[in-house]
Amino acid sequence: MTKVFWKLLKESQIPLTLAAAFGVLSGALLEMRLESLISLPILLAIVPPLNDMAGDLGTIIVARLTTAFYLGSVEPKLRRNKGLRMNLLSLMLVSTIVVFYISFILSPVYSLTLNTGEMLLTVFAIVVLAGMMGVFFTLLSGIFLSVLSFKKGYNPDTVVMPIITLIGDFLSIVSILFVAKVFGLV
Amino acid sequence: MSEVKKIVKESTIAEILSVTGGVVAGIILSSMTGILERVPGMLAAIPAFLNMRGAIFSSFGARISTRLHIGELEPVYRLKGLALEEILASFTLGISQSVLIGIFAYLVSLCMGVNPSLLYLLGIFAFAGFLSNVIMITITFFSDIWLYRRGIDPDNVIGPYITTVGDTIGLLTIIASAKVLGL
Repeated sequence: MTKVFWKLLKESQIPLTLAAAFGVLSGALLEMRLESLISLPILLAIVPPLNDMAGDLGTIIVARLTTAFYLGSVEPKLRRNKGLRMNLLSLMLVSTIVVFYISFILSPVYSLTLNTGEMLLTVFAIVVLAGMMGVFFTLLSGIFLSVLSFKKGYNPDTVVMPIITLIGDFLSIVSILFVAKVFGLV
Repeated sequence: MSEVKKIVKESTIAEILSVTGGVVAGIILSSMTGILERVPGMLAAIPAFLNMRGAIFSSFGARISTRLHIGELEPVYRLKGLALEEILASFTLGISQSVLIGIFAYLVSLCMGVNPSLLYLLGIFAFAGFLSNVIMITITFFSDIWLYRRGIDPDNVIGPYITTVGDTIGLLTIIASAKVLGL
């Protein structure tokens, strides 16, 4: 093996190991509620799409802000910042459309597994509320970390990007469990 | 206002494609309740396992694409030289991280008071890691070359494509591993 093989292993091993450790901690939150999730598997079904959505929108905001900070079109400050607000609102609008889409394409599964119309509405509400809540806090984290890292002289694309999908996973799982708890399901 | 419209239009289309793969993975996950009950600690490892597939193979796909663009790799369906090294490095990372995830899940489950089996967790995630590595490396490498040969920039396509299929393949290989181990 030449340098390329060893260089790739060396560069990737530490961030991937940290990601694995953090990922298992997110999964442990689900494991703690295993009984409730098994009795209502539809709650398990919403974990991967909501995780994907929070992670994807998190990476979009970090990538967009990094470019905007370097171009000077958005100032790297947290208070009274129209540019940050516009990015946050746009991506929240995207998440609103996407959570309804997820609910819509999962509805055949809902109707097969859930007996009552009331339960169907509850799960629908959990997808919408948990999805938007997870995205909202992921975007806030992405904004905060991007501004902070840029101000400290680091490139957010390099520093924040690898961890924002993990933050997205963690926050969307916390949101699903929180909203399900509010509805008395876990 | 036009900027908001642009962000919403472009991001929504990409996002809808991405979450469709997530929904398929979600349906598979919700059908795995039997295995999740029989193997304590498994659910703790699943988000990390899925995330790791996406991280390793998106990065692998992006590197192959860069090497094609800068002329370090020829767009041919042959595994040799740099392509082979990239594949072996991603394969090694995939296997070592899968084993590590099994160990982390075991330790975290122990701390939570669950009674996990290290043998089952390691066996399932090492075998699932091996299977999903072989499938994902094949899909990613050949898709990169195929796209490039048709004049499509793999950088614009491969990331969302890999995260979309990666979740589904990751979960299917976990089920296959559990079946092989008789669970």
